[in-house]
Amino acid sequence: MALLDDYTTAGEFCEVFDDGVARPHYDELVARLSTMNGADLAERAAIVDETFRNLGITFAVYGEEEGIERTWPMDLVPRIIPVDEWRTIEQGLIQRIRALNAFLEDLYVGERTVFRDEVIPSWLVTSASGFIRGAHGIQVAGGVRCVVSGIDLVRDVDGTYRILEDNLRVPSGVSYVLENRAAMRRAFPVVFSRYAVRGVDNYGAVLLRALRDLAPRGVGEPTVVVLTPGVFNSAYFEHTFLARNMGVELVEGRDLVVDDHKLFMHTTRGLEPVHVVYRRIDDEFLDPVAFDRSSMLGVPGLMGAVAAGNVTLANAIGNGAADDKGVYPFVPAFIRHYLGEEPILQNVDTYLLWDDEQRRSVLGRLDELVVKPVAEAGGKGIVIGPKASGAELDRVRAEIEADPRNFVAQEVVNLSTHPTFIDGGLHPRHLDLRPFVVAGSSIEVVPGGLTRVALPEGSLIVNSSQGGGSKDTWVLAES
Amino acid sequence: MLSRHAEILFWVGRYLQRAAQTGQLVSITSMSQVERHHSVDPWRELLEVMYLDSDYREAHDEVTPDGVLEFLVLDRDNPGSIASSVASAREGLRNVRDLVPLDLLQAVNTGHRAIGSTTKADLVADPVLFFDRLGIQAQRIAGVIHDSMVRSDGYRFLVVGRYLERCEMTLRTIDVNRRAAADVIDDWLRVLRSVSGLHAFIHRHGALADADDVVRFLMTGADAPCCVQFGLNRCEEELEVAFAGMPRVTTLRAIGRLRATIEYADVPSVTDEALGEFIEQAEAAIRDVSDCLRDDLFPAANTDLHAYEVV
Repeated sequence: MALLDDYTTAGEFCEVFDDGVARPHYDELVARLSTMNGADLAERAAIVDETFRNLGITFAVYGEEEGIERTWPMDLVPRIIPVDEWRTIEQGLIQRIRALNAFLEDLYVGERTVFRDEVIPSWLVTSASGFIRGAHGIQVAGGVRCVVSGIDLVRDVDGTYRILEDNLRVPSGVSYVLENRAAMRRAFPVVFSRYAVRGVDNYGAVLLRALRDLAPRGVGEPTVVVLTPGVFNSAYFEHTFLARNMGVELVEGRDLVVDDHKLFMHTTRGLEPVHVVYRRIDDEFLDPVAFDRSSMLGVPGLMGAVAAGNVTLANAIGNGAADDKGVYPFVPAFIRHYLGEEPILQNVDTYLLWDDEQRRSVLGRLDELVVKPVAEAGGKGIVIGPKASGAELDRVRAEIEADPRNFVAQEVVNLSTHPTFIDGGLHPRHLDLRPFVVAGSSIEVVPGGLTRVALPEGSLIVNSSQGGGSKDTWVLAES
Repeated sequence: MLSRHAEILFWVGRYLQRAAQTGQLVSITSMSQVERHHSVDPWRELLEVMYLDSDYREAHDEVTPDGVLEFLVLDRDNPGSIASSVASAREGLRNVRDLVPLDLLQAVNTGHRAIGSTTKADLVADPVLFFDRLGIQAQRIAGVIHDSMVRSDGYRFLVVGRYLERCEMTLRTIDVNRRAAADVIDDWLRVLRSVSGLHAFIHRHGALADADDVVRFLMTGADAPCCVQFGLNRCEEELEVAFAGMPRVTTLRAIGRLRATIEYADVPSVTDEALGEFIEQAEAAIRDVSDCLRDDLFPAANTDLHAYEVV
């Protein structure tokens, strides 16, 4: 039996089929899949898995003892995004990053017009866990604070793309975008060549150019490094990947030293100056002098060097004030306030639980909504009302009442589905999309991004730390 | 390059070489079981070469071929086993994976997984097959290093690690054999095989040779990779480039001194006790090179820095 013979979907938006007929941009792929059976696909999947394993393309899962490295789970059926859809996404993301960056500039070094004009209450921003008081007054090169951003998108029942979440601190996943592509090219060379897929392989060059654009003034040949917490970090693979693809050093805090407000690294030829740090360490661990004194990961005095304008950090310190889930509902208002434009991409409907009226209404229908803690990542702490038990709902109700600022509630988005290879056959699974936006002297969106798939049937949680898979994402070129 | 990365690559080189060379040594020993004449117990001797005889005895009551085989190949509790060496090399490579070719990561990962899936029963049932495969893996790794690594400082420190380890192993092999086997040429041919030097030796000296020829060759040969002299020359060349233009490099002084000592040495005869002393001094000098390297990479006091005190 061919793979798609008895494929059916329920109520959600299906990426591939419209009323049983393949959407035009999926024609070629569906034609290819209908000549294959489960065993063919399983064979290719095994080859891909073997390659990933031998190359050590893995991710670590915290809290698991043996095999803390898991092979990266890639599904062999790619997601395809046609030209016009991508154009909207691209423009919407650039617009959103411009507004979020403007907000952060306004907040830390500007006149705080966003509070003056009552776009958002100041207490809400300054109570965000990612707001860093110490970043106040520190100018950043080129005014670019969101150098690398990962914005999560979902599609609702009618296929509209909506913003689910902004990640402006240290978003992960871009390395898997490139590895997925390399694997797909090998697994499906013929289908791949039938499509004009926009390339992603120049990411290293795009990122390096942006980082060099943002070097401190007066530095002719800036030295760029990637700063990692070390080999035990769950995204370590990605850190090495980025250093390799940019051709720069991958440093840890212990390789760096600050002297007279300048940053250096210990090399085999003595101390060498460092000008731009693409840091993959959270704000509070960057500098034990300025933040967490017990941190062994950071560099004493780094904040001083940044404040003196001798070092550029990407992303800037304090970006967590903008991607806090409690601030998220106000981003469309930021777009209007700073850019005077209407948002191209809409948010998911979100309720503010510190607002008495909204909270009352939410608590009355908790079983219909999604509740998220504002400061957690990786899908942690999310309660999906329609799937939660009575006890879970009672617990979350009590937590909301105790600390309403700490949660938001959202309408359930029944994420779109896509045929995904599971147990020898293709079945519909929910997915989202995390495109990556890189800003230097201009803003670029990497074509595609990381498509994450929830592998258990019916699940809406796509995070890889919770058993999610991934798909290569093909953005088609303009013809 | 970062000093930390240089040190890691140096150790990756040592671990990879240790794994390959241990494989070679164990393989030769296990094959020589089928030959009848031995002046020494080859398994006991093997443990001594590896400086692992007391470690082995802590875990085992008696020296048996299967016991030593497992101990040296698969035992992860033995830090000197092939499995442990490959695991350490792999762990090191994880820390520098942006600096080495993907082919190298792939080769080491493949080897690591192959060893991990081998049981004691597999090994004992067919050691020849196992060591054949291991040898191919080792050659693949050596080939990737030689063939696709960029000649950067990272490559240089890796190569220095490999050759220093190789020199140490060769010295130990001579040392253990000199006591018992002075006049049994078969044993010395086995020694040559176990350091991959038989062909090179015969090529250089012809088949008519005695134990002293073998020892002199292994010490001062300058054109075969199994020889101490060759290895030290390579180390010195690479270190000179890696530290070019740097003031006060103690490693260069240490390696130069050692290289010259071997080069101009009158190597004592195997029947002379002085050979043991000579080897001991050479081993100490290699350890000294290793220590100097660490000191040069991580100078203890950057006292001129305005250090930030974390209080």
